[in-house]
Amino acid sequence: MHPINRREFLKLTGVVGSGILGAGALRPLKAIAKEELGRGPYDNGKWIPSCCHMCGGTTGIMCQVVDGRLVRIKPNNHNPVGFTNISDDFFANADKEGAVMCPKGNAGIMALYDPDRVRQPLRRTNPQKGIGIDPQWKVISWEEAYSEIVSKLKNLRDAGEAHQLLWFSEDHCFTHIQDDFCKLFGTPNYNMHSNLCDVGRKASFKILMGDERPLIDAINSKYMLIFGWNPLSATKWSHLPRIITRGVERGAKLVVVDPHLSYTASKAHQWVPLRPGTDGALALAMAHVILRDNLQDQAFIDEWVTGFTEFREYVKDKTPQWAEGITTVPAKTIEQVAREFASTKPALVDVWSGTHHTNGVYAGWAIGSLAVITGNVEKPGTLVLPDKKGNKHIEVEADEAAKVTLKQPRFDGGKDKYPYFNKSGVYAEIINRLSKGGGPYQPKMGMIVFQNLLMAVVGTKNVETALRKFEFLVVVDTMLSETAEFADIVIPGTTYLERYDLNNHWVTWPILGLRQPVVKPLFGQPAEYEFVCELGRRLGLKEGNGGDFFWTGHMSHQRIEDKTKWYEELLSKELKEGEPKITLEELKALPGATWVSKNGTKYNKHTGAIAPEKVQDAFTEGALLFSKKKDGSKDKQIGMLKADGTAVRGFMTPSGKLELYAAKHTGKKDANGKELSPLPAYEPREWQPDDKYPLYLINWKEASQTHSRTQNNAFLAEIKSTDGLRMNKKTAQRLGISQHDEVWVESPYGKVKMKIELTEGIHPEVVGTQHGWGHWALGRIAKGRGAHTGILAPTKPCALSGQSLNKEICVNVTKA
Amino acid sequence: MLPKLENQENQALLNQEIAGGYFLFASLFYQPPRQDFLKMIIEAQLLTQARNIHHQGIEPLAKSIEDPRWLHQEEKIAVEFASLFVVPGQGMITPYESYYCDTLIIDHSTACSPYFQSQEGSVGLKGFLGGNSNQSVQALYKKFGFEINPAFFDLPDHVSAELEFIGKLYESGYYAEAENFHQKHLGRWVGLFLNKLSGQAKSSFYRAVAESLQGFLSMYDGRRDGKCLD
Repeated sequence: MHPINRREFLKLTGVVGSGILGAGALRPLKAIAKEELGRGPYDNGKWIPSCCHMCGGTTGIMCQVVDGRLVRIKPNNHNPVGFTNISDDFFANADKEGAVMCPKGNAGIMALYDPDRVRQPLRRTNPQKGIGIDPQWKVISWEEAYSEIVSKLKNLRDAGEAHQLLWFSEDHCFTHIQDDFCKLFGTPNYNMHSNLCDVGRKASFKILMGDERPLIDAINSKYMLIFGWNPLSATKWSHLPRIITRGVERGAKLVVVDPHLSYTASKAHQWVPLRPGTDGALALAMAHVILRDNLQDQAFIDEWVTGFTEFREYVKDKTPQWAEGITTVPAKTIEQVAREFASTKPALVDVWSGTHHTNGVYAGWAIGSLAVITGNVEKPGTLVLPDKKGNKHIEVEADEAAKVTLKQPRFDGGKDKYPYFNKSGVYAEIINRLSKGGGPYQPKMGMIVFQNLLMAVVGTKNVETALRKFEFLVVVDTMLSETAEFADIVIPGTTYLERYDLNNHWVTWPILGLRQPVVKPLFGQPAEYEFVCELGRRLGLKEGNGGDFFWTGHMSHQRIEDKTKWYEELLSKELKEGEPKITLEELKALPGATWVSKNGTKYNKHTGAIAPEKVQDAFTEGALLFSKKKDGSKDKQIGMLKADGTAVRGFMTPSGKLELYAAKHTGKKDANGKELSPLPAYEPREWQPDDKYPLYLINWKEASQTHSRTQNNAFLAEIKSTDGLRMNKKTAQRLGISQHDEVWVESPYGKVKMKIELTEGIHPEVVGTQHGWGHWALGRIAKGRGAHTGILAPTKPCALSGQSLNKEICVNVTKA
Repeated sequence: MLPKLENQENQALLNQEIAGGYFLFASLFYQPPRQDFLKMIIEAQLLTQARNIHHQGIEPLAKSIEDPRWLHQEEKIAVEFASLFVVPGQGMITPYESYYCDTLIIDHSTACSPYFQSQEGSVGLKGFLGGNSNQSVQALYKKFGFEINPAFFDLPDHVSAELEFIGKLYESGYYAEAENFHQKHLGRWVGLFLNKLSGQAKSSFYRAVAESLQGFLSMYDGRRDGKCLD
């Protein structure tokens, strides 16, 4: 070692400056193409239409970009999702009134410019994994990240173990390409957020109506009966508050059934608090009153409902007195609401995440049955089945190698185990099988894209054990979430403001909004679809016909190097072959980059006639009509033949009608081996309070946050920076607990400390909190605020739908 | 104040030295040093040398601050680099000008939520990325013929980019512009950044980096347009 002179210093630092460490942060401008010089794309400021993804609601947004910097987000008046869900209202009023978005929409800027974003690929250097264990991250180059991930994937595939890759993805963003990748790679184990959200509801309405997602036509309604849902505030479509309040302005009565005085309940004409998990009993007792008093719509039932006799017989003893003992709702209230609901037309009834308990699917079915027996289906102001036509997911065919592993059973048991299995997978079953063993095989590799399983799936300790079982785990996320801390490699993701997506649904007629990059990815990172495409390319994945799915332009049929351009062609293909029949560029050019079908909302679709030529060409089975596959075999249900021989659309159930009695359940079993009930049976939820854990614990969503992913957003933290434990004043008095006391909330699975918020707006047997707080990672703002109650629950799936049961918890609360 | 030397040749040499110093520090914040670079730093006492370039603001160190043990700590230094400058968390020292210096004005005219309507006027918020500073430095890079290297995978107002840019200005003879850039950009926040680094770095390596850069920049003491967020 020796001190150097000035010239030597110069020489050495000159070597540093000229790139001994590789390229520096800057490079000469001459490397830029001429046309890019001097004028950025947004030098003069520009409004770019897109779609929000602060939640899954996909509200239309307009983004003002100045000098490449996003400075403002406002609602996009051209996208119905921010305004209404019925077309005549949109066409008549959207221009005059303008669309809206929720506080999270405004706060999107901070999601983009959050200082705690993951910026570089990271590799853990500490092989130990666990909550509280520092992964000791090291920055790696993109090349290193790709090489290592591809090498692990290749090893799996070469060993004939492609099915041992488990893939988890967020919803309403780049799901198709991830699904395609899984298929071409050869794993049947693609999973997606929906399992954590509404597959319980989906199962309920699939049984009853043959459609998983009816929507409420609130504007035209005269009576709205909402079970266990907070549509004026909770994470969902931003048109909901407008259509519900507009319905109320027009004279509708709003009744909310919920253990908690939610924001929606606080705006309702009547709040009906009940014990958690007893909504099915309440609905059956209402049905009892309606049928006892002959308030049903018999003509509708006779024509469009099956199983009415069995249902009427079943509810005969489900009296209001019977339900009062179960739900604590006074019998006279049940009588009053049931009679009002049945005698007010049109009326609607709905339920959402209130179905996150063991009786949830049957409860949702019972709730939906109220709409059916009163004829409140497919009419203005009732539950309407949406016309879900948008972009088309182009099916890919796997090659021979992938076909072999695709034949392996799903790790979660899939439809063989869960009678109402949804393709989004069964997260709780996956976690249980990973952590405790069991299942057809033990997966070796996990790919988690924009999901935080440790906060989203209850049974935190169990999830922790499960995540440790992966031999190699990759997490792609914008934030270093609790789950990302278990990764071997973390890949920086993009926000919705830096990438493409196509968004449809959420209204009753076909529309499609474009999500597009309003700024370039901040850190030069590839969008998730480009990341997946790069993996596919490096793995050399081929289609069954030998086609290079990840290389070939889906419109030009030419080899495309640029992955963004390649993806743009894929989106064009989906649009062209879907309902819009336009290219991506044409979609961009539409007002608000939103395609809106002129056909509009259609009611009473079940009465629509099937064209004679279609009937003639159909595959017939009993009274049902199906389209035919190329080989002439049965394909999708398209309609039914009525008794008089006319062919109509009907409902997509086994009978073609609305089913109060599901004959197909006969002889079938749920995941626990229990016989399925052919009727929407009420059974007490499995976990009931006892002396040791005497209180129900529930959780809910509010507009201020989305699930567990937005708590690091500085704007949103200003609205509400944490949440306490809400407890009824009478309960607190009995327990000697005062306002703002710190308490221990304890279950057999763990305990958390929370601060008490006293209220009269919660059932006395219930305590509750907003979901999503209690981060120990994610970022500097989120960390340490509130409590994560997922630690207090077991990891448990619904035995029918596989829905993760996040709301079936009992606790004891004591002063800390 | 920039040192002025009577001899023109000496002045040019000093300016080249200053450019070299900037490149050295830019490299240290660009990515963790590999072993060959560590070896060079230790053997040539580069940090001590850089710290001692200007004598006006700080007394030169008689003793080297380099530690030969660093040579065997490449992995440890790489992990600390990630935890200090990359991995989001309580230990991270955000390396961007926007985070310290910019204020985001929330425009209530588009607020559709009752949550926002209760507040009057505009509300400012600090501590975010990609602010005006980011755009501003990017424009200056462009003006002097540079752009962000795509291989950098980071933002224009990153400490490494700003250091490198000043080095490029010195290298090209734009001394006044370099000083101006320091005053209007890097100088407004780098002190806060380095104070945090001195306080939070666990290894002697990054403490030495912080100390040597503070010494290197001492020529600018008292010459900046304003101090940013504490």
